[in-house]
Amino acid sequence: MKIKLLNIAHGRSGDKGDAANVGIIAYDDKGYEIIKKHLTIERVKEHFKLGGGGTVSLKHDAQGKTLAAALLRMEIDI
Amino acid sequence: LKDKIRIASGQGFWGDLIDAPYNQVTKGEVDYLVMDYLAEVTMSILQKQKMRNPNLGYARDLPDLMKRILPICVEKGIKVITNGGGVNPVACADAILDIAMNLQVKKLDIAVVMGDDIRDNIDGLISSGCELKNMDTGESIIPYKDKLVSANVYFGAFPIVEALERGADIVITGRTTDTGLTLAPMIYEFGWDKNNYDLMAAGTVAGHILECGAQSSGGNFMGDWKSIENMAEIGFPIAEAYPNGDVIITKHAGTGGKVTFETVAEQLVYEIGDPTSYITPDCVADFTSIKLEDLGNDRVRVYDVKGKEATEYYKVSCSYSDGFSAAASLTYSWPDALTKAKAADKILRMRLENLGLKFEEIRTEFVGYNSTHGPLAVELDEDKINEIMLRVAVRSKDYESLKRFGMEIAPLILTGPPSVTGFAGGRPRPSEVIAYWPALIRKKMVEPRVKILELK
Repeated sequence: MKIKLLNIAHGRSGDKGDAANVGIIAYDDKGYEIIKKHLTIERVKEHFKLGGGGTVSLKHDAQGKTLAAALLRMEIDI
Repeated sequence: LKDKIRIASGQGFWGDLIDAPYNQVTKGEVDYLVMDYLAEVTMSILQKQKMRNPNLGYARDLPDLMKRILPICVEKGIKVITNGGGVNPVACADAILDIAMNLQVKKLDIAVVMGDDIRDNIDGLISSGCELKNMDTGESIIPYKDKLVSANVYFGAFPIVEALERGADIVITGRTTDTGLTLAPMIYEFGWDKNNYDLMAAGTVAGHILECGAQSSGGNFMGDWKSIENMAEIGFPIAEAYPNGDVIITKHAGTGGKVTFETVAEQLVYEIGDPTSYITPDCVADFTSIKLEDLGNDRVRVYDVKGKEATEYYKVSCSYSDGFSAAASLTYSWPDALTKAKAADKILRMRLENLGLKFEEIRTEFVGYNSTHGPLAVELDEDKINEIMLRVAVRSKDYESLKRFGMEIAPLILTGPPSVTGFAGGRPRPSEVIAYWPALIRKKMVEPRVKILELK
């Protein structure tokens, strides 16, 4: 079964110096276990790999405010 | 010593809701009003203002705000702590003293925290062996030192504690950590020992929850945001702090927004690096130790926070000018809005190339399609797209190339794809790109100074 991260979690993102930070919070314990198991460094890397490089400052979303929403698009196979 | 204090957040950044501090001091009881005005980019803007006029360089909203709230704060005994002094906290304090005098306030002590601005002492620091190496790249600052626009040390809570101990009613600082503004009154009022790192961490975490204003009371909330009531009159957060380190996050009764487990949790995970080591000048807080309990009625208890000893270093944030950028946009309508916008981008890029202009980067985004999520955006059925805004941004060290870029946008309306609008306000103007240089400095290399200005 595939679920969307959006349905089990919320989050917030923003810039921290030249990097961005994305925080994800499960709505309940069950969701937390799913996140712990599936939302690995590799999965997040793979998800954002498509995002490409380039200068952050030229982006419409230069502060990474919408990155949390972008991560919540992720589909997880449980 | 008190058994409880209420610290109100008045601003999440310079430019936040103007009425928020007024509401915080009028809609219920608070002991302190804390206001964070300084983002990294703000310091370079303020430094430039000060270069043009030596009496400027601070958050200019602050004197106007004080005119409005000072009589209330004096009457109720509310103390104000803010880093809005920017790169000229003395001028900021003088402006507030003038206002106090005009308002015929009888007694007022304003403390100024100085010593964070090291821009004029870079050579001295370098000659004593401090190269302010870039934290990310390890590079020495020496090749960049003459280009620096600003260089500030982040001080923590203790200069503010000293100011409060010396009787300050208002504390104006330069570059102070956002969290230090909130931690300081707890240390002062509860007599906390600076070596009790769990308490330092508890106050630091409370500061992190307050530092972005309404982001912890229902603003920018990604959970069930539709359930947040009356955002138009959103209440800013208040930290009700206790001597044992427990903090209850709340807001004034009757205001909009919401304080729940979820709204506080979102702010906790915002803009942090390693959650086990949130480093400040006062302690290293472990965010994974934090416990939250939703008490209902817009009250969330934050407790059991663990901390470790602070490091030997202060963080330094320098900025320097690194070329220019410009951005322009045009809006294309149905039918084939996205195809038109893509065609216009291609034409524009060809013209820029034919002109031989020099850019380090040209970035194209289609607002309405992929400007926020890039390649993660879902493909759209072209017939269902009503409109697309083409946004092109460029960066260059060559100012003339950017100026010419600005002249190539409007012509696309008559010499490109059809049904296009949205070019108003004239040609896009190049703006300076400010690059940041994060570094560390040994604490003993700089000394915070506290000066008390009395109303005469």
